[in-house]
Amino acid sequence: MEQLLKCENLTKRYGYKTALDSINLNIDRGRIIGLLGPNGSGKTTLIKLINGLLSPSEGALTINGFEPGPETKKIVSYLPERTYFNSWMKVTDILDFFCDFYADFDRNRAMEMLHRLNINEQDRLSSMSKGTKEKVQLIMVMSRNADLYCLDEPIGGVDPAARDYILQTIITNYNENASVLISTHLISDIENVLDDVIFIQNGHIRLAASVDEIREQEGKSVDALFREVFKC
Amino acid sequence: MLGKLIKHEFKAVNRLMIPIHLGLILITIVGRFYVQFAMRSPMFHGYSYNVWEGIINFTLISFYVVALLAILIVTELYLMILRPRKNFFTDEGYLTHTLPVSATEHIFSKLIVALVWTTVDGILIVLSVLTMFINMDFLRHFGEIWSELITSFPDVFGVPAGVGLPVFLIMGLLSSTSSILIIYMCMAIGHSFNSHRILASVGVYVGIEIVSSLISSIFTALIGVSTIGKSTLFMVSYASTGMYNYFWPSFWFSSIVSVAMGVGAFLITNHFMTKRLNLE
Amino acid sequence: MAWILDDSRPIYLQIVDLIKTNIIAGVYHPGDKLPSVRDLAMEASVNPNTMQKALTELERSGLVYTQRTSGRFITEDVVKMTEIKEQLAREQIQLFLKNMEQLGFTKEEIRRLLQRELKEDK
Repeated sequence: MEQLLKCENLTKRYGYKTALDSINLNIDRGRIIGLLGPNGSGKTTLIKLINGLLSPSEGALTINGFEPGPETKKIVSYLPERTYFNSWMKVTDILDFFCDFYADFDRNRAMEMLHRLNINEQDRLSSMSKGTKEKVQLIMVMSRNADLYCLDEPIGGVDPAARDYILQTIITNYNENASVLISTHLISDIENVLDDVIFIQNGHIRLAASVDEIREQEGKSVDALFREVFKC
Repeated sequence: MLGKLIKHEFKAVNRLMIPIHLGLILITIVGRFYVQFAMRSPMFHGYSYNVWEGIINFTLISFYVVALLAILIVTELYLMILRPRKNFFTDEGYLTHTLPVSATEHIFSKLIVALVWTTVDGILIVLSVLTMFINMDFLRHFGEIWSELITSFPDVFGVPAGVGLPVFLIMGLLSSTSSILIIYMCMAIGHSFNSHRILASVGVYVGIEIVSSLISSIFTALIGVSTIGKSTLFMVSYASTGMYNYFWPSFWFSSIVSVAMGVGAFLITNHFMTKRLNLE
Repeated sequence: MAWILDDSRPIYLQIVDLIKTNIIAGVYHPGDKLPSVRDLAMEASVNPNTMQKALTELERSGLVYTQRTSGRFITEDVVKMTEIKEQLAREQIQLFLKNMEQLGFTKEEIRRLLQRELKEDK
């Protein structure tokens, strides 16, 4: 099978500011990967590039051999930081929408997860709390049988119960042909579910290694190492 | 995928479009009954004059006119600016632009739905006005009025009505298509900026208007036909100058301008939506 | 069972130890079927790959065996169990001795202290 994600000298500039500087990165299938870095390090830029919301200034990025476009959007499932649904929508409207546009969307899986949270199909988004809306969005994104899931800061600003729910959802939906890329700056919270970590700083990759490697070689947690690497 | 996009686009805009146009129909029906009632009044036949009746009639007619204008403006503003802007360039864009759909299909789905609803809107407004003010006299003489319009058509425009009316229809369609695409382009360019995006969009629009009116006035000076691809303006200037020899040149000029601007605007919008997207 | 994991060592090794302890302590009985990798991963809130790695490690040590179609089972090999039990005990004792040494006790002192402690327990 093709390399799932491949970045070659990937560079992104906004005007004079370089957000990503010549990044080389490969991601394999079947991994849960943490994209870790302080705010403004280039995490969101990388995720937006993967999703075709930005175009590279230089270099190339391919997903399953394709440059970002309609072909890759079929196999990449993206959870942005924003809630992007119209508040007038009912849950069933959103389900219809995803069914219509994503061939890999598993409606039954989504309904099962929604029912477990006591969310009804006829509920309107406008009647939900911010936290519930975010969960609905996560359920939609994780109910696709995608090859690559990109979750941008899924656990930033949520309470511990919601965080556990998110992590459980990620683990439940794991499959060996797909990878999950999770960006966050809260490492200790998700360290146990990660296979690999990528440390990113000022648009450069500082470190890309497996969690086990780090623990074996450094004798400390990824969180502790992160604090060391990014010490102010 | 285009079909699905159009389906969901209708689903989204119908939520506003259907209620306001049902409102229009309601106002028309109520208004029609009122006109019927008012015409029975002695005042209408010039026997007497009642100040209060006059004030009420004037107020109601003003209200009707304002309502029509409001419906027209809301429809156009929503379909051409608010809906595409929200769906393409705000938080909703995170979903819109990660659907497995090309930018071309996105643009066409919005364009088609906007054209359909603005056409329906226009037809309903014309019907409303007709319904409101038609009386038996008009209906009785409708045949005569119509045939006179048809027979005098060639005198003004230089071609038979059977040719001229479809041509106007095509020109209208082309010019509204291109103006919608130009608005999309302005928004796409404006939202590629890092701040003051709405201001930038408006700025681009004003710039284009200035340039295009400059070009068109040069052309007008050159060939003596005042048109910038806007069929209404064209008709007015045409009728007033009576230059019926210029029907076809004007048609081609205006159509080519519309098509060229429309295609250009589409290509630029497409480029900005695929390569220079800059969601907040 | 509580899956308490610390920061210093690889997670899969910690899981291996936890499951080993549970088997020895009788939480899992010989011949018991283990939950699926996914369920265990969920229970422990760890990555399924990590759980897989831990189970593979356990298989290698002989405490767990796989039946091709029906899943993973705890070994019924009593000799093996005893062996591992003793091994774990030795690890604990060695750790204890090391700590005592650090506190400056000689072997003789340790023995005396231990004997007294064990007597009092009775």
